[in-house]
Amino acid sequence: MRVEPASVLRLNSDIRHTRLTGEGVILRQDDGEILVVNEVAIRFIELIDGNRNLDELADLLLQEYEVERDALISDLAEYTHELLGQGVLVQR
Amino acid sequence: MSDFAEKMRQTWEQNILFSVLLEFTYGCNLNCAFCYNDKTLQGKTISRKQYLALFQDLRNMGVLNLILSGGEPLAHKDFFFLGRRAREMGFAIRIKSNGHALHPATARRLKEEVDPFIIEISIHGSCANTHDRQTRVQGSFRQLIRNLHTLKTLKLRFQLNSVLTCWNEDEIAEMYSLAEEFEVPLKFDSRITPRDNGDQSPLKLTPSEGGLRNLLRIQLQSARQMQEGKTGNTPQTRTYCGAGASTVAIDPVGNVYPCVQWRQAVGNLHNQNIQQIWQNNAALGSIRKTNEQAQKNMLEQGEKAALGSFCPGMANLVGGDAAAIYPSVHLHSKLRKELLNNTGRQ
Repeated sequence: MRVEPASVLRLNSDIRHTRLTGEGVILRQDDGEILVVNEVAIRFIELIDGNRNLDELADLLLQEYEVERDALISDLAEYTHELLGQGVLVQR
Repeated sequence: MSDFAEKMRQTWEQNILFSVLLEFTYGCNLNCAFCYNDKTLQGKTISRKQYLALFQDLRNMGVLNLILSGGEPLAHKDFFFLGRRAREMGFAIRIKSNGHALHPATARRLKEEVDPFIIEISIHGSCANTHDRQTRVQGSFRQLIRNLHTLKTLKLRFQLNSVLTCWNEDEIAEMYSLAEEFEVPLKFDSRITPRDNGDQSPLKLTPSEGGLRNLLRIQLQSARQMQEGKTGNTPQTRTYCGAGASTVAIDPVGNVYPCVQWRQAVGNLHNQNIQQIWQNNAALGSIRKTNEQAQKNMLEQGEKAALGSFCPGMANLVGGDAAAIYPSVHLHSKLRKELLNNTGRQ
């Protein structure tokens, strides 16, 4: 599955998440799996609203974290691919 | 230890509220002989508006688990409205229900509107005679079994919960078989307590020592089969359990307790919001200290700490001291030790 800067993402409907002591906890209700992710990853998840594309999500993250844009886009694309594979995200 | 287990340890250590149990109502469509709820509870019930404000506060605090309980939570007039809002706000919802009202239309609505992570359903025996005797509603077993099939068909995740009593203690194996038929876990609670208003009548159903031994024996066998026996790898924490450290329970009139069992109110939602109750609260501070003392007391028990089954809330009920070891801890410990010795495992 290709992930492009224009890819619009939404959370799978069975996903529940929160922040806990500086990290994120993601529950996949369908199989009861729990993922613990770092602070940037949970922020990324929080920003996904079903309307923003990857490019727009990167812009928002750039306002909060001091990272190079190209590197961030590349990391997000890779991470998004992983989350799509885990059933956390759905590409619209 | 998994990453998530470490996270849970941190919630206890750092007093981070993570799970909240809401007793929506003490109303119920069954009439269980051993029910602990105080149906004479006086006070102003929490309104829709207050629940919505509470949900927002809880999400702001990072709470993920919301447990909807009762009584029978579906008997609350706003159950679906509140459940739907809780889902929209992103809670992982657990429902504790007797399952009696979960006929196809309601179960479908539950899945579509509330989408719970799991429903914990109470079962009281392996046959109608026993189950209906405990619920005091004729036909409740047959209705329950029908509804469990519905839940299965709709792919609603559920587990079965049971309270061990002297009426069902001879049906433990059959109840586990029933759970296996539905391919769901069955969890027993062997503690029967007086009602929250002090009424001692539920204690008449206390299981016998033989019944308890039978339960522990079956559980031990099952743990071995699943290779999930206690290994001593459980991380040591400051408090004995999450009561008042990462959890609270809230009754229908807004009293906030450290947990559903530990009925020592630390505040009321009519007077303060949950954030105010959770922070800088002397009563909660005292609860947490007691919970730490309970942990110390259990550790001093050595082997009994590993083999016994302690609950600060139960200790508080039994003797008024939530940190004091009470007699059934020793009984559990003794029975487990016997069973382990008999099967050649220390």
